[in-house]
Amino acid sequence: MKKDDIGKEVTILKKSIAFDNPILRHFVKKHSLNEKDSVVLGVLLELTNQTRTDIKTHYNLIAEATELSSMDVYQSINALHRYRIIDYKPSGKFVHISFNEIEDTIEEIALAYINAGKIKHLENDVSYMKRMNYIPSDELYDRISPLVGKLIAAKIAEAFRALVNYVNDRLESALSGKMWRFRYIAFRTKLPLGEVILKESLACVVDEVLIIEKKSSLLLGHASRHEEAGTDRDVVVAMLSAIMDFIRTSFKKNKKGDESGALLNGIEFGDSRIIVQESPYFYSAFVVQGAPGIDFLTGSDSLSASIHESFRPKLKKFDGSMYGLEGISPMLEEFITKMNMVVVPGQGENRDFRKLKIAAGIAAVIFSLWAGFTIRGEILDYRLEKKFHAAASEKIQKFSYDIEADADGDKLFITGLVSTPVISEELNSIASGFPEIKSVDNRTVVADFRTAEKYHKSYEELEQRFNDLQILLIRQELEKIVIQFPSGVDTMGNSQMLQARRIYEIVKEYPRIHLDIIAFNDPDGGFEINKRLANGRMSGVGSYLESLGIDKERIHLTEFNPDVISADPRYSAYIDRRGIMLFARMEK
Amino acid sequence: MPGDYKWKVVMLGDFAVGKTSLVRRFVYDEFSDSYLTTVGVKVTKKEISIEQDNISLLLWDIAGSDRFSPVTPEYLRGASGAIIVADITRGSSIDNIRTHVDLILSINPSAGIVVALNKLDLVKKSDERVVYMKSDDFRNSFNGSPVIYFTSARSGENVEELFLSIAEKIRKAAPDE
Repeated sequence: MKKDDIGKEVTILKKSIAFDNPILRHFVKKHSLNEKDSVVLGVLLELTNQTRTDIKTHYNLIAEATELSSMDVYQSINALHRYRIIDYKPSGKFVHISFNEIEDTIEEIALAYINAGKIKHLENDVSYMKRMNYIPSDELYDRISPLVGKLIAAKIAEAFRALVNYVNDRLESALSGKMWRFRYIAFRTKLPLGEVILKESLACVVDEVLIIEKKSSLLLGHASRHEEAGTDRDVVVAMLSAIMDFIRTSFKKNKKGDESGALLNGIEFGDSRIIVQESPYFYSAFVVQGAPGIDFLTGSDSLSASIHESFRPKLKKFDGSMYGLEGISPMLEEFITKMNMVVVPGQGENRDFRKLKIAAGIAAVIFSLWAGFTIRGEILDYRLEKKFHAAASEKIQKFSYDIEADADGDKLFITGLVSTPVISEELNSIASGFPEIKSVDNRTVVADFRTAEKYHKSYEELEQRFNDLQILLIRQELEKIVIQFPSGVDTMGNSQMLQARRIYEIVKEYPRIHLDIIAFNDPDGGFEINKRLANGRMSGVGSYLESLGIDKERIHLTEFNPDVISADPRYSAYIDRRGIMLFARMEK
Repeated sequence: MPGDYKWKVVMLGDFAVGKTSLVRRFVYDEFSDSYLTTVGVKVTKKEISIEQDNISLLLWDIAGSDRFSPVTPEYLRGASGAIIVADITRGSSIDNIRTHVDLILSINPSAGIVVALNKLDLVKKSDERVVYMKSDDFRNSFNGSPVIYFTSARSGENVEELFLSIAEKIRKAAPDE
């Protein structure tokens, strides 16, 4: 190859690279176009405003633009015609060139090209960077910061806001019924509690969805969670679009020919916000409350994709007719219903508590059976313990053990004290004699029961002595008291009641002491009369003591017998008198 | 085939030519509107019927332009039609009709255009300027030779006809379903 040819090829290659055009790249790749054809096609794309308009030109003009010969241009145009990329028609000295209809797939490339145009404003910076062999780090930061810094800051702010909301909700509900509700949902759904709290706390409610035609800003479809608002949504949508356009045009870089601009993707107002998503032919505007999660993002993307797929031909040639677009609104309504539904896996819209009721019924039956078995078991255990104690008392000396037996089904636990290891063994033997008992857990402790018995006997003796002494003292006190009655009288007078009260004061603190009441008379009057009077006087004193609080069982009236009383030393002082004497004794 | 249509119609013209007054007069009986001064657009909706078609006209009343604050081209995107309004008593606003026509056609070449020469109540119909503006020469001086209406928002003269005309023009241009 000659030097000139090499130079030309290099030039062509540079031009080819310079046409950073997705449509061009597509055709080059599809038809494996050579450099010359690629360059000519690139020039034609530029001249036809990316295939949109026809041109009438001359081969020489294209040749000048591409630095190729007219023949080369002619051959390339022929080649492009053969590939059915373009149509051309000679017209005198000129040639009329038009592009064939673009396929849908290429249209997508055109969209990519438009998007690629959005980053054109970075071209200067990129070329600056290319010119420099290295970029100082602080300069790189300065250049990237406005683009990336704000994006990161916005995302961090959003994440913090969601976190703060979450923490607030979490604190508020920590001790409330709401937390139990979360626990219940977590239990039913088998989801982790934290996930349920997050899902519930950061719930995103979609209030409205609006589909807006991109060019005309006309409302194509609308669905709302609430009843129709008073404001006309057609007008609202138009104003929203105007605001978006205003922001797009007001804050974009003011560069000639640059029609791109940043899309306004959200407006916040009160607790709500409008999230705007861009599709090739329409905008989707979502009015939401709360923090949209991944469900919302994937759902909204899916919705936009479905609308695009279903209505693309109609949207592509939208002329204001709503015919054929009626299906959009039902899709939006379905989306709102789906997004605002409390999603519980494995459960449909209509919550059915049948399973819960069955579970509760089963639990109740199980509980009843358990309670029945438990009560029956307790009764059997009690009976077994009683039988064991009876057998032990029959076979083992009374003071040689002090134990407790606790039966639990076929097990017997024995605790307490035994006098010797032999007694302990004997208890084991007795327990083994019962067929109901399969195992014995004997935890008795050996103690010196002989010493205990010795002390026990001493204690009984001391107690008896004390009682005797007590009786002696009370008797001495009682013997000082004689309740006298006037002749022929058996009713209680003041004098008699005063004496009886003294008796009560002496014996009231000793409930084990009993009283024997004995009457005496002067010999005159005959036996029968004296007996009647004696019985009446004894009854009067007894009744009065009883009314003061002495148990009736402790008061004993003695059969009238003048010979018995005559033996008492006190009687000598009252030989011509008549009255009552009392004697104290310990209960039997 | 009868159907439902929604069309975006933009009101273009210099400041104080009566765009808003025309819209207000047209939608006097039934209207809903909203206005954002900052954004510079007032959108009004008017529902009309032509034959068996139900048509919603979304009238974008764009803030009057001058050389210091030109019309935002974004607002003209997707417009099915445009009403170019000029003040019949103000020559500069009439001179700018051509600019507005070219602007809308550059953005949407298929848009239907109607011109309204407003404030007719302020001039005599026998005025030689009015006579000239009714001539074909004047009409043909604009790109696409749009229909010209002489209107008065104050009296209501030709206002209804103006808006029905733009709706009819768009309707005829729209392809049958």
